[in-house]
Amino acid sequence: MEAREDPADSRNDRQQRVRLVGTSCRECHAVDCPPRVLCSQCGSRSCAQTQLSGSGTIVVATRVDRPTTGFPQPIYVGFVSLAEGPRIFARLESVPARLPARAHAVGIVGRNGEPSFGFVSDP
Amino acid sequence: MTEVLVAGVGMTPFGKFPEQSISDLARAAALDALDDAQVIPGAIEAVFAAHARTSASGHENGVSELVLHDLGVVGAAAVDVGNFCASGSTAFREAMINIQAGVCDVALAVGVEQLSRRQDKGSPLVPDGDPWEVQFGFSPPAYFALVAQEYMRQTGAGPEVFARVAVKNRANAALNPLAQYREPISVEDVLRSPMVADPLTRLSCCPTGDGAAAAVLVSERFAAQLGRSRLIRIRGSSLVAGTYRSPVLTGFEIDRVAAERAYQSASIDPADVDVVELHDAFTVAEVIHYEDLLLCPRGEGGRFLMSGATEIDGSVAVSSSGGLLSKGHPLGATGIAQVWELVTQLRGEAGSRQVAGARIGLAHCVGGFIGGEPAVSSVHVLEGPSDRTAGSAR
Repeated sequence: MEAREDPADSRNDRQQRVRLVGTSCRECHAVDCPPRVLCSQCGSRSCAQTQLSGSGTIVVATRVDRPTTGFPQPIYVGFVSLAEGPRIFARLESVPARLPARAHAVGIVGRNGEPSFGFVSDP
Repeated sequence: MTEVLVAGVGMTPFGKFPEQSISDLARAAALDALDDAQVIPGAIEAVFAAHARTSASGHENGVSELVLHDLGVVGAAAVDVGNFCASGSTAFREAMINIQAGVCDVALAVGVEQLSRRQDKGSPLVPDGDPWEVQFGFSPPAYFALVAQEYMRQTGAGPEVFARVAVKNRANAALNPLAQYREPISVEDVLRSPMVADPLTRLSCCPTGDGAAAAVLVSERFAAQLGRSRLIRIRGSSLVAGTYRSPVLTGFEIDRVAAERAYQSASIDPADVDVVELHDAFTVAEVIHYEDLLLCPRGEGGRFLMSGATEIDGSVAVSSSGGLLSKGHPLGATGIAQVWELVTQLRGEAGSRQVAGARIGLAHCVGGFIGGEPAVSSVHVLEGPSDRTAGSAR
C-alpha cells in the first residue's frame, strides 16, 4: 500500500481508478457503488455519478497469500461498508487488530501496476 | 407433462489430462453414458453441452456440435451452455425442460472442462462475472476466506472444523476410482498445507483439473421402450440467478431460495434426502451449504458436521463422491458429475462408498460472482427406484 493519495482530490484522478465513485438515484436517493445505470433499489434510470466520501467501516478482513495474477504477495482484502451505504469488496492496507474498524480510502498501486484505491484503518 | 428419467450416466476420471482434447474428454463421457443407458447415439434428439473455460483449449463455443459430430449424430438440436461453475447443472436442467415440454424424448447433457492448459495455471482462477471487483483482487478463495472469517466470528467454529470437511471428503474420494485426489489426509495435513487465503489452506480449496461427465435423459414414453429397471426419476429442479440479498456472509440467500424451490417442486422435505452432492469448492462452503440447503439450522453447520451426520453412514451423506474438494472441479463437468454420483448411489451401485438405502438424492451447484455475491445456484432432486436392493455392488 504505497503512493497514498486522496481519492476525493480530482487532481489525483487517474482515469477515475483512484476515485471512489458511485451513483446516486435522483428519485429514491439510494447510493450504489460501483456505479449503476439503473438504481438497485427502485429501478429508476435517473442515476447521477457521485463522488463518495471514502469513509467507511471494515466489517471483515483477511490476508490473501495466493492472489490472482497481477498482484503482489500477499494482499489484504475485506468488505467495507461505505458511509453512504453500499458494502464493497476492497483492498486493505492490513488486517485491522479489531473489527469492525473505521477506515478511509487512499490511492494505491493496483492490479498490474494500475492506479487503484484501498482502505486504511483510522487511528 | 411427462416425467423425465435419467437412463444412463458416464464420466471420465477427473485429473490433469493436458494431452487429451476437449473432444476426447466429452466423447468418452458421452459414450459411457449412452452405453450405461443402452441407448444408441442415433437416438439423441438434443445435446446440451456445458463448459465454462474451454477457450484456452480452442473451443469458445460449439462444443455441443463437436460432440454430435464425434458421435455421428446428424440433425439433432445442439446447445452450448455457459453458466459459470453451474454450467453442468444448467445443461442437465435444460435437457430436462426440453423433454418435459415435449420437444424431444431423448436428450444428452454433457459437461467438459480442461483447466490444465490455462495460461495462469497455479494461480486462483480469475472470476469472469464482475471486472470491477477483479481489479481489487477478488477471487473465489479470497471471498470464501472472508466468509470463513465471519463464520468463525459469529459461531465460534475454528479452522479445525472446516478442515474436517476436507478430511471427510478425501476419505470418500479414496473409495471413488474416478476422483482426482484419493490419498487420505488428516486435519493436521489440512491446517499445515500452504496458506491460500487465511484461514483457507491449499487443502481447504478444490483443485482445478480436467474431465467430463454426461447423462442421458429420456421421457416416460421412451423409457417404456427401454424397458429397464435402473431408471432414476428427476423429482424436482431449480435454477436461481442473482438474489443479491446476503448482507451477512454466513449464509447465501440465493442457495436458500434455490433449495426451497427444489424441495417444493419435488414435494419433499429436507429430512427426506438421503445423499447430497453440494458445491464444496471450499471447506467452509460445505458447512454453510448444510444450513442453506436446510439440512440443519442456521449457525449449526459446524456442529452438524462434527456430529458425523454427513458421513456416508450418517443421517444424510454429503459429498460421498469426494466432492469438488477431492473428486475435483472441472467447472463445466461438475454439475453432471454430481448427477453421476447420485444416480450411482440411488441405483445401489456405489460399492464401498454406498449410502445404505439411499432413495432421494440432491445435487447443488453454485456458479460465478456478480456484485459481491454468488451469481447462480441450482438444485436438482433425484429419486431412485423403490424396488432395488440397497447396497448392491456395481
